[in-house]
Amino acid sequence: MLGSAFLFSIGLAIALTKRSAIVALMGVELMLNAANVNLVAFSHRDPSFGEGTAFSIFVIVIAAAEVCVALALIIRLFQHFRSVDLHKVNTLKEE
Amino acid sequence: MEQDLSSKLSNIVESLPFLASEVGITALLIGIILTDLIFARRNKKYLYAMVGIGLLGDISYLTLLAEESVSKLMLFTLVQDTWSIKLRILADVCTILLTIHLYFNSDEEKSSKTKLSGEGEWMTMALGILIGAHVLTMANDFIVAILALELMSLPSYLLTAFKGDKRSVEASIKYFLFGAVATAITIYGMSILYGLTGTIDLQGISLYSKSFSVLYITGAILVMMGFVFKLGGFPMHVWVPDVYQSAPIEAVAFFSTLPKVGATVFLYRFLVETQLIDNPYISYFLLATGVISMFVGNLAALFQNGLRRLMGYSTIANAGLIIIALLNKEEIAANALFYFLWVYVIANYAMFYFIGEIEKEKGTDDLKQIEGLGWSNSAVLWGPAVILAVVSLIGLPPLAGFTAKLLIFTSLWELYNANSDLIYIIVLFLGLLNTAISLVYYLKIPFFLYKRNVKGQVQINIALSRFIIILGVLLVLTFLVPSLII
Repeated sequence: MLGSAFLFSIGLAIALTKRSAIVALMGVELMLNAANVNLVAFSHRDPSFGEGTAFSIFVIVIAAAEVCVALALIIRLFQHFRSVDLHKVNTLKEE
Repeated sequence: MEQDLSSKLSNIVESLPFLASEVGITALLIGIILTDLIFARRNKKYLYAMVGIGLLGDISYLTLLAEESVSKLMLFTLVQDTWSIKLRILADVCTILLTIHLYFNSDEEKSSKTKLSGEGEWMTMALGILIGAHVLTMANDFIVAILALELMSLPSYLLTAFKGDKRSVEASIKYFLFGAVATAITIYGMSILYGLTGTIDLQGISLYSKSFSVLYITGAILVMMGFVFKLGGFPMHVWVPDVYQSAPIEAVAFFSTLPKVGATVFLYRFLVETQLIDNPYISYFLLATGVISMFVGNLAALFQNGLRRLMGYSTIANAGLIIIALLNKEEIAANALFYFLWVYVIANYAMFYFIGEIEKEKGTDDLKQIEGLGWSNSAVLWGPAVILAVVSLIGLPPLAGFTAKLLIFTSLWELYNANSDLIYIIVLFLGLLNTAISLVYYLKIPFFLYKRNVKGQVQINIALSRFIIILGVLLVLTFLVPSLII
């Protein structure tokens, strides 16, 4: 539990602060995996039959789908901006 | 074990007939992909018509034939009650409005020239989002809920970038990063709740609802985050203006309605079924979120010049109102919420049809562009209809928006009577104050539209202007005869 909370916080910090879009994506993955660690660990104490484990498998699938979409978007981003630096991507502003 | 498995299988088989609507939409989706592939190189507008007709069939099935089930479906993961049927009808209506928008907005010359014109892709993703919303209205289980949430999110990110230009890709990547973080937070919250209670269905979690432990409340709040993100409520609202400014207009109109319906109903189910709503800390959190999002939305909207950003901030404010309306778990408050969602969908679509047409003619969505357009010859009918939509969004009589807001504030007043907690009264007054603030920026639109001494000319697509008129009339009708909806 503590370990997963630690992992979650690292992931959140990375996702919020890093400049590169890909590294931010890795932060999101860390957050999802923290949830996975929780789910698998708690399913040991679960009297019913491994709902947590099943949930964690679904989470892995979701993460894979998310990465797929994200990488497609990042390729488009790179084509337009010639960079994946999120600080350079700021053409949309308040008028 | 053998016996167990066969009883589970028979449960699944028994619950299949209740899912006819979802099965139908999935079949429609596959049909769209196949027709799109087989009949290449032709004007593909008929795909929109196909989806529209299919969804009309789905609506008639849901209104006439669908029945409530007595027990939970699919091994306790889905629930079909009156709410899920009614809200699925609303979700279908949203998608039909989208197909109308796309059908009359598509550029025929362009689509016949290029091979990859996008009709098939549009419809595939829109139907994907629709299935997500359908399942989310029925979800009774965290796995199903999170899958449905992702099914709504992933196509939205792609649709945002659908124009493929610089700004929409940027908005899309921002939307994606916020969305992914919100989903991860939600899943983490679910894992905490699972650890505390040992189950992932909502009824199991309700056993612990009397607990006031910090971990339990934190978990519940984290779970709500992802759905607040879909609504565009306060801590998760940052993506809204950017996406609204640069996504394709059809997608914006769609995002501002359908995902909200799904997220609202799951939040409501989550709060009521787990009895978390009785927990005072949760209700304080919801009140704070609602009030802050109303203030953020309304105050920021005051300074906007673009119609799209203005509507974006107005949806944030409306999300605040929806979140506040979630608090009362009585039947009548749920009705109020349902009515509010209908009215909101109708008014928003009327506004976005209008904004899309203006933008197509003038090339920009600047507020100054609509100066005096109301006096042009074509605007005799659609001009007043746009005003009806605006006034309904403000919430003035004699329009349906007034009834919706009145119902929500009444349910808040009843909460105060039941709990005699002063905070409900404070929120009530803050909500009324916000309605007054919103008056200022909403009224800008009719003011510019009918500015004196300026005469603009604009040519609006006749079919779409008719639909704007129909939606405007619907707003009046639902005010006069609320039983049309409820």
